[in-house]
Amino acid sequence: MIYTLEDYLVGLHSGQWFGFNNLNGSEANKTYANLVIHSSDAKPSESDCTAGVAALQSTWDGQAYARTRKAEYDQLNQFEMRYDDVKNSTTTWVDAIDTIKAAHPKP
Amino acid sequence: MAIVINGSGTVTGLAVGGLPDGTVDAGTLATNSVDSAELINGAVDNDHMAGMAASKLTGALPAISGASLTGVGITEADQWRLTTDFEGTVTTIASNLERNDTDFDKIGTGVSHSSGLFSFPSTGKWWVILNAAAKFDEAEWLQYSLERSTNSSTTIDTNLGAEAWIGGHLEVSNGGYRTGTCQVIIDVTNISNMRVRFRTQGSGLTRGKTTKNETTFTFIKLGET
Repeated sequence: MIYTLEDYLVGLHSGQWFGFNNLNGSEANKTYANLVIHSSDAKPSESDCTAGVAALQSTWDGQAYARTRKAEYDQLNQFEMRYDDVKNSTTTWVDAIDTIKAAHPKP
Repeated sequence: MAIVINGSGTVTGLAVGGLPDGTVDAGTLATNSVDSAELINGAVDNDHMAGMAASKLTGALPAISGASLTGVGITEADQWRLTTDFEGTVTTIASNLERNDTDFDKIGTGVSHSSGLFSFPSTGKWWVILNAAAKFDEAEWLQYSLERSTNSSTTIDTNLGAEAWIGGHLEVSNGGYRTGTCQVIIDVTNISNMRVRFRTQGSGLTRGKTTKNETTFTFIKLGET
């Protein structure tokens, strides 16, 4: 996911407090220069916006390993694996989880 | 045969075609004296028909191109959309609105709005449709509704009874994307003071784009009031 200025701004205040002029049918025109404030809220600085978008992107990117792990966890029938392990004195569930964690380490 | 002017006010002896061309004008003919027997088949062309009473259109009618008809079919259709996302409750979706301009052109005059209060170009029964696209986190929800004003202002006198409730899934960390539709057929009896608006309340992200339809507002005139 690529975060945008719009993604950052919607998280600052609720309601239609901002918009963009000169869209001309292009999402690429949702820029700081075209930003317009509809409410009494203060217009955030361009540097704050730039930093805010970067922070959102960093948080998202930093969770890539977790999203990948979860997708692979979801492929396992974990309840059945745990039941079988108890019945058979095996460690298939723990082994599978460890394998996924090792393949996608936390940065 | 000799032409004889009789003392009784008549002329006899005149052969068919015996008068010079162009000498009999409309005034020479008695009113209501020419019937269809005096007309050649096909002699009445388009330029010589002033109009036709609706009562004459009976029986088996010929195929008529729709392009030749007026007052039938859809006479008004318009579509607006939200261009920019917003979060949470909005009493009137008032800004960041544009007419759909992606392979679309309105039919008729189209509706207009001032600060989110939409007015109609003509009276009639209008189908008004809000289609909302939203994104939710866990346990968030939004209620969309259509409301009416009959005094040209932001004073709303009735909720039109058209609501859509959509929300995030409780069992996942990110509720994901949902759409909801609410719609009403409203009898617009006065275009000078009747308005509709769209509102939402709750928590969640209402989505809008300028390049495509996400949250849209559609107006179609179905018939006369």
